[in-house]
Amino acid sequence: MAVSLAKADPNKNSMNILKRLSIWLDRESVIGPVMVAPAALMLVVLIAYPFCVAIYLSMTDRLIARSDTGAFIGLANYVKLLSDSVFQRTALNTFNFALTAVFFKLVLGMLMALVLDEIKVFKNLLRGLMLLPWIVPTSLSALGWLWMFDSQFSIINRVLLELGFIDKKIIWLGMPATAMFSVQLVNIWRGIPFFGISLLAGMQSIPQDLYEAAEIDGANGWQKFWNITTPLLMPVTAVVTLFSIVQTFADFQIVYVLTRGGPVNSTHLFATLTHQTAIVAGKLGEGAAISLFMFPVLVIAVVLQLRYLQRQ
Amino acid sequence: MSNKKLSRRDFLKFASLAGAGGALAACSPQATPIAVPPTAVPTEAAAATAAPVVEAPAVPAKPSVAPGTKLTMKLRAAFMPQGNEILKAVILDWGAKNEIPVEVDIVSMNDLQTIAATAAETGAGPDIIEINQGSAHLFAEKLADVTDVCSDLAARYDGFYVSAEEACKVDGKWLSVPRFYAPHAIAYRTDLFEQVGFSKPPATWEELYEAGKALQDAGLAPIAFPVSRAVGDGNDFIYSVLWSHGASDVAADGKTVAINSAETRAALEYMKKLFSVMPPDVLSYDDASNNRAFLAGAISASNNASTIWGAARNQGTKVKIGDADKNLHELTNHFVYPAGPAGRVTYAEFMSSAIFSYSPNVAAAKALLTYINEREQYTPWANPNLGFVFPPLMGMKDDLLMPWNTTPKLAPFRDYAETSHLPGYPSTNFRAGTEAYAKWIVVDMFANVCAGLMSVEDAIADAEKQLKSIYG
Repeated sequence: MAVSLAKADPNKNSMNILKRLSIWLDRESVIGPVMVAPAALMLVVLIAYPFCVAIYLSMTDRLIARSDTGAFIGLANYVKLLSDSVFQRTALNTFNFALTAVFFKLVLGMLMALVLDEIKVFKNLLRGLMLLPWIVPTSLSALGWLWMFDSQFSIINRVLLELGFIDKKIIWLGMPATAMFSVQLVNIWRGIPFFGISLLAGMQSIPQDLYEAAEIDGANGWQKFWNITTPLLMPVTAVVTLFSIVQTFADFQIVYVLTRGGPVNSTHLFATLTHQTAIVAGKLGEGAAISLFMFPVLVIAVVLQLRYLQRQ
Repeated sequence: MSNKKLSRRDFLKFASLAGAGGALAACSPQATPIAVPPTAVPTEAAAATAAPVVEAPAVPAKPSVAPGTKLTMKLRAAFMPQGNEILKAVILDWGAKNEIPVEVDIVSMNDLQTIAATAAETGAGPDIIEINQGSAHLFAEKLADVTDVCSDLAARYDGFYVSAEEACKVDGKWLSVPRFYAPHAIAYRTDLFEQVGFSKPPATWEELYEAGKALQDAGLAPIAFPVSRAVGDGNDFIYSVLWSHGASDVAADGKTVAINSAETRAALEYMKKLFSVMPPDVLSYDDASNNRAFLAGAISASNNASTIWGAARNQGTKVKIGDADKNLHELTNHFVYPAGPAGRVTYAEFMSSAIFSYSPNVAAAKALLTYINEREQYTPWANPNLGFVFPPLMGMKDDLLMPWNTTPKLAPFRDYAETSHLPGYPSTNFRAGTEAYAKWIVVDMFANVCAGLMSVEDAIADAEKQLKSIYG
């Protein structure tokens, strides 16, 4: 064998290299990292690096477009923000906005999934249509809503007036409470399909025989939902809610288009205040600090969800 | 040079249109020569007649760009599409004549701010960018010194207005070339104002209130001015009310916060009073709301560039008077911002063209900016913009083709820039002034009071606290 190999063709060396490479690549400990490398590289370049820069920036008094990189001031930006009335307002707004919106998206999304699951005619068409709010670019649909909330020509006001629910026009985007309601409403409208379709997919993976067995035992619709659907859907619900919390906390477009954070900062979110502070007012350091206030909240959300998933 | 043919033809076409627009004015005996060819013949000879009437003092060496690069620019979209087309054609034509490849991108104002910030920070992007208000103070370190361009233009056209200098001059150096104001006046319904006894438009804020009150009492369409985060209209109106009452957010030293004053109280009390005769939805107005409401006949006056009247005329908007449909633009006229206790002090809505110092093509960019700001290029561009652009060079407003000189209804825009200032006025700390403006502190103070969210005293205290962290 050894002799015949030694006698073999002059390309032996290159053959061996290729062969060795393929054997080497066949090992799981090698091919794994190789396959992950592109994604990891993207994460490092596009997420981890900017993230670290943001942490550093938040600890400086860096102004935009300056060649000097700003003085290191430790946590001074964070301390200043905590006593800043606009920031306090923004923090409350963000929690109010995100938690309310995610709650309603979950409840209404679940409802949508249950209804879609029952509908048997035009199934695919209906499901496609339901996804529309989520597919349309947010800035475009927000412009549509801007028109619907227009104080003068609001279709919503018109309908409410005609039906006799109100006796004078509501200034949707002009007063703090209604403005917050409006931006939440748009976020909910946009987010329901994401919950609905994801949960629907989850529901369809639940084995039918469980429901059949429950029916034989005399379970009613509510009992089937509560004892079978809900627990078996939990992993999907957890993941979808996690994504939604992260996205809703970081929402920007809806508020930017509808109110610019107004009236009087009553709809400012971390993301819009960051843009205003860092890009428009030019305070990069302070802006970075605002955006990083989101981070601990999101970390807690992610950790909780991941731990839950692992226990499953 | 595939651009060449197209751009020259377009340029001449639009230039001749602009010339036709000013034909009447040109008949006047004092008509100064204007560099618009009377007939559009796409030949080299015709192009030559379009050459500058006022010769540049010295012809600099032919500009060029670094090999393999283009001269790129992002400019603000003006209200009238023809204006954008003319500007584009002029620039492409310049590029063709100088054998410089140019790339013109016309974008909306809100996008410009983000593009400029990103480019300034990363050192990559267009060579030329149009920036608004006092942005040159924010990006100062990353902008090329354009003092030579500005001195040359100032020498030829009687100097720049004060507010242009406020916006573009940083520590004694010009860092951006003043480009245009989007001038404001108040568009109003002459028929409705006459019905309540105002055959002459209000000259003071007090008279404006009285007109508003009379309209409200008569049950006619109310006056409506934005008390909201409308980037152009809101800031313009609110700062003008504040300043013309003799109040300001900062003292002349640029450090002392001056908002807590009797004058601010007077301005807020006035606004509260004015708000009582306006529809409450002015709290939610964006820059387009007052246009829409006026065009729908729902309001009788609002502050704006000439775009309300312009749109009414171009679209032939009708309004019902009794049983008859009337042309809205015929019932619409303008008046200058009223005067307050401190006279007339107005907010400048302002754009300038900056060159980034990272650009390899600074010399070519300077040559282009000089070229497009010369009268021969500027006036034919300003004309079809119907008063949406106002020249920052004092010698140009009397050009016969300027819209306020061709169209009597635009006359109130004529002296716009004389009284205008930038946030940060009356100090020279425009960097901090721009920050206070970006954070809506003054606008919010007024909105707090009008919406009944805060008392006058609380609103002032709230604004004072925020301003101190900026100017302090």
